[in-house]
Amino acid sequence: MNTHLTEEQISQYIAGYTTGELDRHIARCAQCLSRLGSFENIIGQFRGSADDWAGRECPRIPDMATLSGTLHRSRTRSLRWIAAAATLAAIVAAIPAFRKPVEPPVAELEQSRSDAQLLERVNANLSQSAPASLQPLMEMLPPRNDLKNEGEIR
Amino acid sequence: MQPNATSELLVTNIDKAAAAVPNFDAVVQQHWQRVFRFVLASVRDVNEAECLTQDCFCKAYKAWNRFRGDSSVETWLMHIAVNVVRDFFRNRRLQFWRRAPVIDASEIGCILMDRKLSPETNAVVQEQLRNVWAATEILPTKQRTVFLLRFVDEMELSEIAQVMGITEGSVKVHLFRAVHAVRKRFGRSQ
Repeated sequence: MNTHLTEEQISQYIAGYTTGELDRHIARCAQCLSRLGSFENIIGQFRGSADDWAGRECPRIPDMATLSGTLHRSRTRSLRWIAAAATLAAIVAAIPAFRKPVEPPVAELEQSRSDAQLLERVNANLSQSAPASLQPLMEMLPPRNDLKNEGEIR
Repeated sequence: MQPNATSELLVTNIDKAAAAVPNFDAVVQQHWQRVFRFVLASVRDVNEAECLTQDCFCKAYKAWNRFRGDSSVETWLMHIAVNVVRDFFRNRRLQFWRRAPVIDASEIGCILMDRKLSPETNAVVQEQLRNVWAATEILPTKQRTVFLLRFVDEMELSEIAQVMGITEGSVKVHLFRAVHAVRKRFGRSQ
């Protein structure tokens, strides 16, 4: 291998994808070894900072009594969840029992009734042979059958 | 009956059961620090880390009878810790109203001050550290977990596979992606 290792190859090497060729190159190439070394160095610092942080923040290791309290709390919490779920299920199950059949609103019924009445009046008007203003005159005329008979006589 | 008699009874029962688990106190004493360090590095919130570590030991305690001894207690505890952290992130994604601000990467980077180094070198190291913490923060949960187990807990790949319940090949893939992402960020600061 004449050229230096790519960034990917170095990452592969760190991740554990080692091959004989990679091993040999790193053993011979000072530049690639230095790149690897600088990453290992910063990872060492990273580990140190994580250690240091945990060491500073870890207050005190709890004893069994404290853990028992936590266990109790978690059990109470899960009991509370179970109770909440049961209540919800009961409510959902009870909904159909209280549900009434859906009826159209009163205003809609009134409207359709008045529409029907209006239509009836319009139909009655249309079925008349003369307009309403001429109705008194029409009543004065004899029935149509009489007129027909008179004509035949003449 | 007293109002809290049931809870007292429950605690007493747990205490009685605790006595049945041999040396669980010693297990807590021995492994607390390591589990806490992993959880803290993962969630970056001291209060959450403390609660989750407690959860982890509670789960271990409850499942103590099911521990078959196929792996070491430490590996088993880390397996529980990995699951606890995974569940935490899963829940946090859903519980957007409970999201607490986690510690800033720059604050963690300032923690380590090497007195052997000159102030200039220290400043450079601090900057690089900040970049590594910031890069690990945005990694997907699995990649971050593998990265932390490998480089903070210094676990072998086979051990990580056992802890995470995945194959060694998958561990390598996650680790490669994590290392590559961190090195990209780290390379920018060099």
